[in-house]
Amino acid sequence: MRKGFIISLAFKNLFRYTRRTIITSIAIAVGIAFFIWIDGWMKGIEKESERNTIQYETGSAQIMDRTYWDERDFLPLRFTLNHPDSMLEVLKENNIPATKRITFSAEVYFGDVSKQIKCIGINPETDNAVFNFKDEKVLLPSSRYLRANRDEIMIGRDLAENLGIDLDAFITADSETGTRPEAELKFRTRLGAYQTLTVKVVAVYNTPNPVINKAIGMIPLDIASSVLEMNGSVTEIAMLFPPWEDVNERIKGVAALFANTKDDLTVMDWKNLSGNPNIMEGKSKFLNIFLFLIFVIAAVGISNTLLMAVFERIREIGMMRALGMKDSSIRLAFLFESAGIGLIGSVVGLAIGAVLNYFMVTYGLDFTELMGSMDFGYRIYGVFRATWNPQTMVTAFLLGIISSIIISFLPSSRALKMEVTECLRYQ
Amino acid sequence: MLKKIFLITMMTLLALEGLSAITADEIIKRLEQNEGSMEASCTIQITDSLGTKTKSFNYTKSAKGDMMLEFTNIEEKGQKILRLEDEIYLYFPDAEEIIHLQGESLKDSVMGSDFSYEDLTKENKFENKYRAVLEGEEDIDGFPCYKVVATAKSRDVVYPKQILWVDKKLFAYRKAEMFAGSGKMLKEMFVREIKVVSGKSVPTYMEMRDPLKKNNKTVFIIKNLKVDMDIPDSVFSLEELSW
Repeated sequence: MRKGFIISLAFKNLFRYTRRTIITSIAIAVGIAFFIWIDGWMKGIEKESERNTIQYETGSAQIMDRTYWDERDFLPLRFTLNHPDSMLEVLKENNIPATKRITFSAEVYFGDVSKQIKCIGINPETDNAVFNFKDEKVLLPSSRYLRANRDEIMIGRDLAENLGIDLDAFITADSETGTRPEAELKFRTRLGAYQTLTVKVVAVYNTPNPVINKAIGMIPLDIASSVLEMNGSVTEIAMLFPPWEDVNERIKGVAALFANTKDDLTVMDWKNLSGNPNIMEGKSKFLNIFLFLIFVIAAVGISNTLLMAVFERIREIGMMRALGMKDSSIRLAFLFESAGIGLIGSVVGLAIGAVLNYFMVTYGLDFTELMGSMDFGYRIYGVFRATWNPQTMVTAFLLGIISSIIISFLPSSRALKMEVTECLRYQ
Repeated sequence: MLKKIFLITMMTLLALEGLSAITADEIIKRLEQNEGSMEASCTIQITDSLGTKTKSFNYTKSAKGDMMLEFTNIEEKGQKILRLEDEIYLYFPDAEEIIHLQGESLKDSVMGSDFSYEDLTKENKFENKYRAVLEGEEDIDGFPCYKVVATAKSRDVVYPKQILWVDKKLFAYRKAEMFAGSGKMLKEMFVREIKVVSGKSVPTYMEMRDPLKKNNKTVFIIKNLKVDMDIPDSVFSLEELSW
């Protein structure tokens, strides 16, 4: 039998049973649209969290002393990089943007309030090569970026609010001549003695990373080095790699650059630096399982409607077989018809998914009120934005068609196993 | 002639004053002579902006300085802290686990108080860490005291400077101030009550506050005090800790 006839038959069947075609296509379309929407959403959260971690918290990777890394929870200043400048030279020769930092634990006092924070000594000249704090969008109005060799501090918006700093007064005062709030830092020097430092709050930043806004303060590196008695050593060197490059490969390359140094160094990627990488992998697996469940639910819906479509036409199948049409041709006609339903559903699903994703990419969903300051591990605030994921869109489109074909195979096989007379008598 | 007699009398008095004058090192030595084995029930009241928390514990200390602390308040009941020389071990009965504190973790606060675990390990003698100078005499709460200014001999000492007011009669602290390297006062301690037991003066009611923080205070009260006891070494062991 000619293929053209079978395709034509399948095509006619598609529109002969318009209501069923529409219902089945809608089931496929909803499944695919939902799949694209959720995947784009989840990927968006992951991507934004990654971007916010790298740009404001860790850089792509950091070099540090191995013992410092092992005891990182306590930020021990005894285990440091003793020759950071020569290391930065090596990185510069290899075109890797890098900056040195000193991270230490401190207690910040403002008026009646005190908070335990992580304080970072940053080099105002070079920190911008890796991190994004100089961005005008990040600094609140009237803020001024840190200047070297001055007793001043930049703090996050949430920390400023928790300390009771009047942000309305802050943003309306002149950044150079206006009154800046003064805070007191208490910390331990490298050798363990208590030290304090009175600092002027010159900038309040509002990054998209809640961890950074909540409990981080930044002071000029030279001031930090002096008050902590670091003698030129630092706790870490942060680096930035191009986003399209494989971080693990770059880390191997950086480790090789310092393989012959006497110091026991380690190079850690942003995932390790921002928390337990196993937790992140676990979250990723959870998302994949979630997406798989969405697919299964959609597949069950499709199979149900296709199953009904085949069984309501068993008498028709019996008649075609009685007229001499081969079983293989009847099956092929059903598969083509299912592929057609899958194609219509996939096109519509792709379109709806793309529209939903467009709104999620452009505007996102604001859960700020609902979530408040709840920490769920990702470095984002309550506004969830999606990202475009062409790979998932193509996969979902093809899955819609292929799964329709596969799902229709079973009921059509069952109908074809019946005797012709049985088919004709089927009620 | 009268002038001569006056001059000789004055010089003699000054010389006698010099002979009888106590030095800062001697004051510190007398202070440390009050140390020894001890058993007591203690209470810490920690007050901050959120309110007051009370913790209680039994305290046992050997003559050589080993120490066992067992919490008796409901929240931390059964938790123990053992100090052996310069080592600190914690025991948590719920987890049935012993944790060895070392390195940077010693800087953590003991149960949210103004004391750190490091404060518990201060085995190194005061005179080894500080250069003490007697700056005069002052009354604290009506008690005449020696005012001793102690400056750290090295840069690894936790408080680079301390000022101590030592009771002239009992040779125990009446007041202490601890300073950061910048000169800012970090802790201020008042001893409101000193008990003399078996010839040893022991502060039994202390108030400590952080001058940088408003509305905070840690009160340390010692009750049922016994000193100079014979305490077997087995009390200060890891077996006893997890028992």
